[in-house]
Amino acid sequence: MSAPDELKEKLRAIIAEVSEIDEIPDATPFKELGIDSMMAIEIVAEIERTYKLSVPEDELVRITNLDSVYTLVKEKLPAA
Amino acid sequence: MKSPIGAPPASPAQHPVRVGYVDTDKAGVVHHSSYLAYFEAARIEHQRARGLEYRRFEEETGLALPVVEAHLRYRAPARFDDQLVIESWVQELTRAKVSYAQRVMRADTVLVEARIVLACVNMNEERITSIPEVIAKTCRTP
Repeated sequence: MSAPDELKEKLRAIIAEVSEIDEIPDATPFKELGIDSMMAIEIVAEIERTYKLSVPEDELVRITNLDSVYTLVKEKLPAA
Repeated sequence: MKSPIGAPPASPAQHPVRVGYVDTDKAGVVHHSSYLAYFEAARIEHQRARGLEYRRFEEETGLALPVVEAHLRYRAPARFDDQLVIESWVQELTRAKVSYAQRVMRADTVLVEARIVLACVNMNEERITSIPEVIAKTCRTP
């Protein structure tokens, strides 16, 4: 079994904190978890603050579950 | 009883309202729903005083600021022809929402306290968007 991805776990924690939902599975749509579009924007705002990156308005529609957030953030973070 | 909106700033925006007959109910007091209209008018004037004409904002941007939450506490009744003042201030501004604290005053008496939360929607696409800078600017202006 591979080690948990540190970035993904940090994003999971941010989403859990903002949404006040304990369990954030990788692929479950946010809508099914009760995370609405307003809350998704707040999640993005917290991620922007944490990682000092910017998610433009037209990319917000990509945010549908944890996996999609992870992909988006990985794209925007400078390569290690 | 602890206020749900906390103490107002030193000089909250003030919007005068004279209670109309149409605002009252069979019991002779202002109907609970009428206060929402007072609060809405006061928020629009709050924005106008900070340089934003809301009608033009909607027309030019295709965006709107619907109410997504309203918490009201009714403490004392108002009656027909009462002179009221609606006080408004921005309690919280985030990327997704603006939270207004508002209260209805009759002289020094607090009649109603409210926390009204607005989001921003793109009317053509029918989706939530971030609060635009033009709105954020009015919210940051004391």
